[in-house]
Amino acid sequence: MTPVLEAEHLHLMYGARPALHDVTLDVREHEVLAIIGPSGCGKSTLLRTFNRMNDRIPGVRVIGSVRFRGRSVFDIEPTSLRRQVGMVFQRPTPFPMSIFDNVAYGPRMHGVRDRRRLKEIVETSLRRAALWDEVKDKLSAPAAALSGGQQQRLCIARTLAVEPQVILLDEPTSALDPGATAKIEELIEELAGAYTIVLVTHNLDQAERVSDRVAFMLAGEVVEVGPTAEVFERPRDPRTERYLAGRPLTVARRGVRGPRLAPVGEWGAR
Amino acid sequence: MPPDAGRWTAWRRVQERAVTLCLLLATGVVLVPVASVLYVTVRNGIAAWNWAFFTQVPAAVGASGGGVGNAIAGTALLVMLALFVAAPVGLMAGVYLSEFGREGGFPRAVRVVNDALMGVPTIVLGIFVYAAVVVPMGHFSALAGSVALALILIPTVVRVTEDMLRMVPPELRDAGLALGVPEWRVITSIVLRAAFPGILTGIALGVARIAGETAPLLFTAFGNPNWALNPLQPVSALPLQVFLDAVSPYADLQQKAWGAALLLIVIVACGNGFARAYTYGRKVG
Ligand SMILES: Nc1ncnc2c1ncn2[C@@H]1O[C@H](COP(=O)(O)OP(=O)(O)OP(=O)(O)O)[C@@H](O)[C@H]1O
Ligand SMILES: [Mg+2]
Repeated sequence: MTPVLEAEHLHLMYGARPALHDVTLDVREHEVLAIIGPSGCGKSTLLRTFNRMNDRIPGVRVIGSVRFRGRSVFDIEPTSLRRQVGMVFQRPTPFPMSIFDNVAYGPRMHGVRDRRRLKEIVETSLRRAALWDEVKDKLSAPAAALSGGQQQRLCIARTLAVEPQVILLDEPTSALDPGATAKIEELIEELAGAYTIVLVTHNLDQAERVSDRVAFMLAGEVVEVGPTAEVFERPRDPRTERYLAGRPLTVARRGVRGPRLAPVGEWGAR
Repeated sequence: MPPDAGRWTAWRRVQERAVTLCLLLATGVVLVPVASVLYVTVRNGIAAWNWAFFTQVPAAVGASGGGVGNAIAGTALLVMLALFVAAPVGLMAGVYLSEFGREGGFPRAVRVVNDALMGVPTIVLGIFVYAAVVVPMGHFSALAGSVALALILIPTVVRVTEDMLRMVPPELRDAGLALGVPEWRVITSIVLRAAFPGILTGIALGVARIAGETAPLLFTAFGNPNWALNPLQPVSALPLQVFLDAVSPYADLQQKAWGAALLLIVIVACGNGFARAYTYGRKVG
């Protein structure tokens, strides 16, 4: 079966600065793929090539191929690609409008006019994002009045409302407290049945909890990718092992006082 | 504790007092003119305020009574016409500069010209409009006056729009684009909306400013002692009325000048007040 998304021998440069090096990675139907790796290793960059959000940055050059369901993303109209490959960002980004209008925004922009239909979409999306019960009585309140965690679920609902097939999540919980994080993780697990999800996270426990497969990136390369349990239990690459060993919880769990490795530094100098 | 610690503390306290005193004095220097202007204007102007003042045209020279109704209407007409032109033009230019012309020679030139226009003395703009509009038309008109006012307002709107749009976090744009919405729709429906309170504030301040402009109206709108709401006819305006009445030898007219001046202050204060209330209200929410 063709993967939903696949990058093949993908190189990306920001001007003269390489950010992705020979990345080959596929994302399969209805899986949760987690991408982990130290800061600056290119996780967001890779994610943003999947829905062509890097197009807007001046000076970006791409070599290699990125395909969505077998078709080069560069042959797909960006607006149409992004409807199918949705994205949620690190910081919640509520639009300056009501909760209802936030969720209805995408469908409206794509031509849904019928009020009843919009209401339906908003309710379904909010329910799927596990936010409905908290906001159903204040749909006309400004979205900015919600808590950070609620705002993030609103952003997920907003993405769901345009009915994507893939959801790219770029550190969706890094700005949230543990309670809100737990809710989002639950949500990811629920959504996994119906959508294909790519999750970038710095939280290794989160990756272990919610993902089916995990890819470890370092210095612009995908070092290792495999089923989550396998990668966490028996990493094949020593670099993966070292990175995972830096995880405090793992250390505690194994009762080993392993060395806390410093995160891999600036890699552009390579 | 060193033996002279007490002396140091005392000295510190003296220093502190001195500094506070200086700051207070400076604040006073700022406040005194404002307060005296307000006091004198209110004191002299409030007596002129009555029903006739707001609803009638000036009485025949020498006769008492009458009002500045035509000037109020004229100012409203001039400001509205100017706003009608300046708001869309300024908004669009501001959007262009912020969203499509971040770099490059042309946008940079536009910015320089715009800033220069902001610094041109308003009387110069008045002369320009006289030559460009009044002379070809053959007579003074509200239209010419509002063109002059629009020239003052446009650079402000351009600047405010660009600045406010730039303050919108890039994540908001990305979030809109990530939903598959075309860029221009993201700009009009999200970015502009997020920047709107700030832009509106800037426009309100600009309007308050042009409502009080006199110089560019002297040889464009010119003034008109009668009701005139035809844009192609000369029209009166509050600042012009203040100017005319204040230099007249009649006590009654002089008092009307104070009354009109007070009204101008009220209008400007309302513009500022609206701007503040609107931004502060938004920031909290
Ligand atoms: N717009 C840009 N212009 C130039 N360089 C960029 C740009 N965006 C990212 N980079 C560089 O590309 C590299 C990869 O960045 P990226 O944001 O993909 O890393 P990341 O893995 O997502 O890091 P983090 O975990 O901190 O989010 C970094 O060295 C970064 O400095
Ligand atoms: Mg990132």
